[in-house]
Amino acid sequence: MKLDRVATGHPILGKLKLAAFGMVSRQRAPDVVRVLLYRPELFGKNFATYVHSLLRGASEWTVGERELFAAWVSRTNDCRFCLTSHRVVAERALGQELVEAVFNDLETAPIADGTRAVLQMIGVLVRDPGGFGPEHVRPALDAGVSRDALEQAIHITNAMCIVNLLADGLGFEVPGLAAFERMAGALLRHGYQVV
Amino acid sequence: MDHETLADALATGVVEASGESTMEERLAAKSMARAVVSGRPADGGRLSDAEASFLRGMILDPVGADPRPLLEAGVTEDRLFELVLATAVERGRVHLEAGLAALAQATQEDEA
Repeated sequence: MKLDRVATGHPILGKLKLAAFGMVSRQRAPDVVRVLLYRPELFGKNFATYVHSLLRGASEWTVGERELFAAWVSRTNDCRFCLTSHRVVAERALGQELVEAVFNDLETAPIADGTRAVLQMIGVLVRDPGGFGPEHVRPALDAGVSRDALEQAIHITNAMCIVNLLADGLGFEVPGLAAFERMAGALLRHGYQVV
Repeated sequence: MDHETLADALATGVVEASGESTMEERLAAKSMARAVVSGRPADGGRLSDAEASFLRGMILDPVGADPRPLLEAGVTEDRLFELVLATAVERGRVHLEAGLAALAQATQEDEA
């Protein structure tokens, strides 16, 4: 991480939480957790609540679909840390074969038309927010996705654009795939309310 | 709480929580982030040229953004962290507003 103090300068409560995280996951707490626990009143507390609500709260989308959206935003932003993290959770929830099919070829992947339309919408929104218009939303509406479900997908895009920039801008260490896979089960069960 | 309320709390928190930078400086970081994401020219307002340059670079090339010159010049990590958070949250906010505006327009057209 580019800022040493954010990586290791937590007050005692934060250090205890990092230690607990390390004991449970049997590995160093990832940098995203270090950012969330560093001065949590500034960012971490609100962000963890927001993300947990989006990815684990009440929704018309399954948990796996929402993780897939998070991974898709991260892929579009070319953020390796967040892409790997959310992709492995999506694979746990939806199956590796299905997620691979989506990432290999969205057009032909065996997913619902509404999910495909939302992924396409997310891609445009991430790449070109200034050029984003109703024509990019309409395919999802036409495929039967509700207004509320679309609104949630747009909020997921917001949350992931924030953390993608932090991950790359602050230089999060990207552990090996095995480390992400060890965390995936806990993330799937317990979500993101780490603060 | 609904997602809009949570997103608002997040955007407010990174500006209003106490820290080493002022609210005006964090608002300047947000303003610059919005301009850069929208492809408009942006100056740093109340930020130093070096800080503005780093934050602008973080949006355009986050992996390559290097804070070391700022830290060596005496900018504290806490101050930089606050400005980075304000920048990142505003960057997301631009996407959120664009998405919600398009959705509102599409649903209005459907109802008309």
